[in-house]
Amino acid sequence: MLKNRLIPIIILKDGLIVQSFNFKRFLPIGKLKTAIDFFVNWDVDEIVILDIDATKQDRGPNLEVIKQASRECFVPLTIGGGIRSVGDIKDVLRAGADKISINTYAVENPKFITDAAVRFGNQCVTVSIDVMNVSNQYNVFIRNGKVDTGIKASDWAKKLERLGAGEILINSIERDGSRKGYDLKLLNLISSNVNIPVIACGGVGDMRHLVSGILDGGCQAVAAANIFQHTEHSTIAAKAIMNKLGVQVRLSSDVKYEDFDFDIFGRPI
Amino acid sequence: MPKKVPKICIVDYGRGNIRSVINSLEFSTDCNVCVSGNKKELDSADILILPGVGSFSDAIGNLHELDLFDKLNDEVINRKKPLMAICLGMQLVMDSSEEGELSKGFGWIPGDVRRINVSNEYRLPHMGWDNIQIKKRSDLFKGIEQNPDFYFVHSYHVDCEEEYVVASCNYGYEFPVAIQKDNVVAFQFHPEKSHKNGLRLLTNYVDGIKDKL
Repeated sequence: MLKNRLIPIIILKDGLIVQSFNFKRFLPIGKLKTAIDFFVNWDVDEIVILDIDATKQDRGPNLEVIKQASRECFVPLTIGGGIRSVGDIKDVLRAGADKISINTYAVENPKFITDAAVRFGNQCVTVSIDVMNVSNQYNVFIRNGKVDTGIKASDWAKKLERLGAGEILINSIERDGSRKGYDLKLLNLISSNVNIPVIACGGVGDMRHLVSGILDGGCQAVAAANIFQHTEHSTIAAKAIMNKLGVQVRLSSDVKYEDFDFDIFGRPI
Repeated sequence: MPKKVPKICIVDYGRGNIRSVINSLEFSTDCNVCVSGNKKELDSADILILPGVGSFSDAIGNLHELDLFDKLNDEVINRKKPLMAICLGMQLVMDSSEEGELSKGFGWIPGDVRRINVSNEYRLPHMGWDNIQIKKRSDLFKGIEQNPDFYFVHSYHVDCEEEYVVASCNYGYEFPVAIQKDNVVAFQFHPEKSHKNGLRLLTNYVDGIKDKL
């Protein structure tokens, strides 16, 4: 049976991992290589690295960083930030990525999604959507959540599938860093409108939120960033909780926490 | 006498997550690993890897354009060189695919490639970790747990005679995901991205060949 995926998102700013709060405040955490080493051995199913400076600084992806990150990353690695051409994708894949994530550039140049999918296959193309609720409508935002495109998120998701996107990463700007849990209404809206896999993101403050992203939000994968940076074995604990509460997950770590309960941060009690 | 260190050449035809394949082979084996589309390099390699992500037609077109199609045929058929194909690479070793215009594959293993035909409750691509069923005893899966999980991402699958099927996966229905005929082995999943199970599979594969070199 196909398992539901657990994906830590590593947010990079000025070459360091940061925690993000509403896309506005950023708390530096540490080095990329250390995080990858831990996550790969802590039972994660994939890793996403988002370079949030690239678009703002009007530069392409940092290939050296990707090379280092991929060296011992034996789970799929998705790279986002600054990808604006077929050449960029080729470079990023050659540096060690398995998939790419595009956001702002996809909205500004929808044809690029199709070009990328034709050349590299749609499995390679993840489109990330940042969403905010504006007068009772879920709108797509770009440029690190600063620009409201006025496009309805559900329309954009449907269009992405037609254009050739392989999966969608849906992120709620309001929930980002809030610890209130995923916006389940948003997740349902997106996952029910497309037939490609959907990754939930934004707002996990309790490992049980991951469970509702799958069971209540209808997503095939759940992602979070900040919460996984708090504790030792964070993602193993997340898997243990998901497994216990009825989500089909891959359990590959020697550490299983089978007989433990957990507090909201996933610390065993 | 020290044993010769085998040389693995990953066939470069301008597509795919090649760095991931290099990283995993360097980690899981003691081979010299190179990436090349150069015929001399392919000549001197002990083992060939045919990676691939993307579309069948595009890949076959590129292999012809780079004049590698006939070269690979020669290496595999006439020189009997061991070749491991991954994901789209697995599909390329079949007779033909229903994807795209250039639909004729290498034909090293008899069979075809079809789009995964499932109802709406199954999303496509088939993406993520799924367990496989091992159908044939093989040293390839030595030391790997029962029904192991591997990482998949594909929308097409191979259809071939049972005699070639080493393992299968069930996503709506059952299809082959590890196949073998003579010197050709092919996987639909990505061993290079399947953590412990994948690394072990790569080690096993190379160990099996090293003994015969």
